[in-house]
Amino acid sequence: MMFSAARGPSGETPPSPGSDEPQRRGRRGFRRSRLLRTVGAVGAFFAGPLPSRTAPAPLHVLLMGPDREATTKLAPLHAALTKASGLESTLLPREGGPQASSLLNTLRDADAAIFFRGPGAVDDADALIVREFLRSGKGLIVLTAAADAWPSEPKFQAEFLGATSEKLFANGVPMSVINLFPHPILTGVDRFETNQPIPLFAQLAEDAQMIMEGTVGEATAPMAWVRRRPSGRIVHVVPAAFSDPAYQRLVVNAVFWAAGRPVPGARATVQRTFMPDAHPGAFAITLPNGPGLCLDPVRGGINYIWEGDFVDLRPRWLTKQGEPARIFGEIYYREKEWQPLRAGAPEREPDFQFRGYTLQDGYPEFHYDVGGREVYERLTPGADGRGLRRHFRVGPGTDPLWLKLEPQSRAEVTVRGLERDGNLATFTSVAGGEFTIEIRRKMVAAP
Amino acid sequence: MNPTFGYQLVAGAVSRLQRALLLSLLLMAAAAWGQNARVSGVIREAGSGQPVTNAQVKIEGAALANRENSQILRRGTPQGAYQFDVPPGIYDLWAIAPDFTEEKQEVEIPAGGRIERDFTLRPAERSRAYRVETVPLPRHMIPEVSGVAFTPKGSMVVTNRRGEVWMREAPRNAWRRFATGLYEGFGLVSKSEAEVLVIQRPELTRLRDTNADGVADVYETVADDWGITGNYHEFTYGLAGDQAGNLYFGSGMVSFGQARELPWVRGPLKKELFMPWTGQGPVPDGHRSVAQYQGWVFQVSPSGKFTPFAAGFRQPLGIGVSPQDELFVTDVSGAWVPTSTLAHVEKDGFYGHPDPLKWHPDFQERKLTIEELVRLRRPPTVYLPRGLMGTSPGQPLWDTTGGKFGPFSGQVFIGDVTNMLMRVELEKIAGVYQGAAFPFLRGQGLRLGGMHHAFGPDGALYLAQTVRGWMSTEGNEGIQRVAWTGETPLEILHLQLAEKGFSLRFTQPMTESAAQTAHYKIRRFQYNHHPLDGSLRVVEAEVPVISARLDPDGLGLQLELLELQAGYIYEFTLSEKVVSRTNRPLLNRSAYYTANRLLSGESKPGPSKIMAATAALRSGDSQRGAEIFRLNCVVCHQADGKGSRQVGTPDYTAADSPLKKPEEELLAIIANGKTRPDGKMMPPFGNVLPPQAIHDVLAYLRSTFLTAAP
Repeated sequence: MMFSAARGPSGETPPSPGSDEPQRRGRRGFRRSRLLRTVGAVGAFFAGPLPSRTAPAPLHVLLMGPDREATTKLAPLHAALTKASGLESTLLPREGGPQASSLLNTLRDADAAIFFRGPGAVDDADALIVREFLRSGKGLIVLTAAADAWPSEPKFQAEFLGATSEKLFANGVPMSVINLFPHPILTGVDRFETNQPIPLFAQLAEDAQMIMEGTVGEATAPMAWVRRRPSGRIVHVVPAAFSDPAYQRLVVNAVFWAAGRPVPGARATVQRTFMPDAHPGAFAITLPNGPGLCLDPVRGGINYIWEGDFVDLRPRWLTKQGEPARIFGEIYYREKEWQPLRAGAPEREPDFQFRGYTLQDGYPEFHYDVGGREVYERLTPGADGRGLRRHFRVGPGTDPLWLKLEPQSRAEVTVRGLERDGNLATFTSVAGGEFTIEIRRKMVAAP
Repeated sequence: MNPTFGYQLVAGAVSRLQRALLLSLLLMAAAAWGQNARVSGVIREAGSGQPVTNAQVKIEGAALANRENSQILRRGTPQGAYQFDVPPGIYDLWAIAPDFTEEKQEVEIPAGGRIERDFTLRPAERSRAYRVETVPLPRHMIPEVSGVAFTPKGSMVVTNRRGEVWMREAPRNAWRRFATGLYEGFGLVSKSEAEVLVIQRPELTRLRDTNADGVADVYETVADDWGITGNYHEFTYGLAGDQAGNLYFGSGMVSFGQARELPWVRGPLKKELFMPWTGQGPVPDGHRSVAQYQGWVFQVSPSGKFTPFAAGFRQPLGIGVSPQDELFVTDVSGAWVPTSTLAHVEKDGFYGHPDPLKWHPDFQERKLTIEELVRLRRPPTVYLPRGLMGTSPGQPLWDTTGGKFGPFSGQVFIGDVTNMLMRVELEKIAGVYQGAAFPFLRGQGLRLGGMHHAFGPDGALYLAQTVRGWMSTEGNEGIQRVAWTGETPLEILHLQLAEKGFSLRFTQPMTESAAQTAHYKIRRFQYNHHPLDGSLRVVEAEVPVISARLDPDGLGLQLELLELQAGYIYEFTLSEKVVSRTNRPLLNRSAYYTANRLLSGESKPGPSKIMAATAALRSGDSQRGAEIFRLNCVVCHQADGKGSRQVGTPDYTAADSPLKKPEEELLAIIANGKTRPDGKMMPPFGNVLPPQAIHDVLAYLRSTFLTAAP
């Protein structure tokens, strides 16, 4: 990452228990890093990503709640965040602390913030800081938003959270089923247990993508969702024990995701379903840090690629007649109906047979028979973590293999290992071999 | 805000033509609303009069032909109340509740009518021989469990409609998620803790865990040679394997016109019906084979060879292989499937629904005639009459527990989308399977949606249950275990065909009460095999029992009937007075025997002594017939009986009035329909109107219009 030189290691002493000083690590250099981040971002916008030279700088996350009780409860979460590799955590004390107001300035330098219920009552100056942060585009994680914890931002729930909380869901009865949807935030989280009453959040925004739902009887309630807004990423999670390692892992993941960093250990998600503009039974695939793509095993190609997270499968699941999955994110690559991989001659539609796939090191490798030749296609992120890399292995065969590319106006397609002539690429090795295709979104300067 | 602002904006934005169209639509909607009728009531418990809090009420009738299975199913309120707003018509109304006997009423609802019908349900006899338990599942498993199987080592493997495979590994019984990302898993066969074959909507997949981490890392496509469109109803059913390693599964037909049209179809698309519907109005049952091999059952050999095995299934929901390695398939009632069935399926056989034949190489270029269809069709091995025998039967599973599941070794257990389990006993008569179907368990905590099941190493029956999209999911999904307690249930153990009647055997010695002919009510009937959505019973008659001989041990019973004919379903209802020597009544007193053949090999009904009983309907009631005509016939035949040239209906008042034909011919036309030389067809009403109603409507037609004819 381009910001690595901006932040030095923390040399500060952890605060003593009971101290009203902010419990923090590594605040030195925040402002400097902020400046460099801005410069870097502008550079990346026009010139593409800078090469990665060193490990990424730790992310700084600020935890805060509306009152002292909340601060106390957040302590185990703060400890977990502090231990997590790549994170620095500051727990902001509320009520009774002499410097609480000025400490809110810390928010300005944080990469992400975790609000437990909400920021609580703040004076006008601090409300401005909170408001600035919310609108700054930085990552925000809210643990159980509560309207009374947002006195200075009464419209917060609708505007930022993308939902409004109402009464308790199912009168506070514990969930009988908790559905964890595929998402990087749930990496390593194979359970979510809570005995706390869950507020019923309603009126979810169109861009709110559910990642966890709970069920009591026939009623279902949102438990966690994410929003990828142009102005920043937002995560909301319902309450659970902050000392629960599974919950801590979820929150750590959420910080990485909300800050736009790869979630450690995240793997590709692969789901066969009913996708728009694809044969039924197509694959919805998302790489850990994006992009998402639709691989059509009938057509034998990638029908489209979008910038963003996994699809919303609920339209298919929650209605009898079933709608296609919903895609969150902008599509920047499309193929048409023809078969892109051909054997023998470029104009001949070959026998194409989908043979299945394997999951290796968190990434899928698909297996095809193209006119009698064994072809394997492994999907991974591009070389610098951006875009999509399609790595093909081809078995022996006398017929050449042709790849018929389609012009893309919003994506760069780079082919390696094939003889390319315009939109036609040829693989001629009788003994078999490998080739790759890299697809990445074209970066366009803002007008 | 001015409340009229929005309206003015809309009104100002549309053209005069659009406004006129909108107005007519509103008027039409208002007219349609005015035509709707309501039936409501309360379901109470017999004796106490307390409301039954967990009842479901089902209304079914031809006027609901645009709905799946021509029915609406609704839960009663906690106060036991129910209400349906439906088009006017004649309906069957069922009230069903766990642990209560089912009650059915016929109700005729005129336009704008408000009919009240209460139900009083009697508690059902509970079996102490079987215990129904819910199997705890991980909280993070979505309990839409659609398939269950056991590995040879005894681990339970399940799949769900969210596309997961979970394994409860023996002997620790710890759950782990074995696979994810499938598209609606529906059934599985598990060879080991590291290899599972699962049927998902688009393919048969072999899942393998090659690195022993407990999670599948290989998803191998074994077969995907049939068509799919994305329609919600094209389920891929299965999975069952034979001893040679062949696997069997099937594809259901799409619910045509009730879902989005899809431009992306795997394989060729043929939307037109193979046998076009020529009746009036929309096709009564929209299930159609639009993509390749929908409505077929498939075989995949151990080498991976895919074979379209047999055709003619509407929804082959249950696929099972007998211990003798023979394939059996259940189908769900609808068009061409008069009631749900269990069929012994052989290669290249045709089992009733003609639409899948469009994919048969012999029939692609030509249409079948009705006569050919009848000749080709193999009758069901066992009919599962709708109502007492459920609605949508699932997988047939043979009791191979060697007595661990009670006294029914070798018999077949079939779940259902309703909360019941059926039992089937098969026998070969003249070389062909047929047999008897019995209710086995209803209620007792049994949930809905048990369409797949498996016997565990403990001899208990494990039911995979899912109802999402069809019924209330609340507490109805997951896995249940039905275990035998060791107590012998008091049941009819065997019901087999004899030369002059039937041979029964009870599970416990019975008193002489079982030797009383008056304690047996036996009715026989047939169904119409036709394009309408299901069939009423036809040519139904009571068959007198002329002798009942109980063996000295009190277990065996020989029933001799006045007449035994092939080609009928025999319904047995035993009196509550038939009791065991311990003075207990039977748990289930009903059974249905499908007599496709007699011991002599005869497969067709012959001359009958009982026809008089069939004809013993009261003479037609013209007044009652008038209402039936208004509800069912007036749209095409017109209120003045003059018919419609456009529709092709005749003028009853004309000199050549068809009402002058013989009564028997007219009754047959109403019941079975008629196709005119120009191809226009009067649809059959035999599945809509009972025989007496057909008599009544004919009496009305003749008394009203024939007198006007010159």
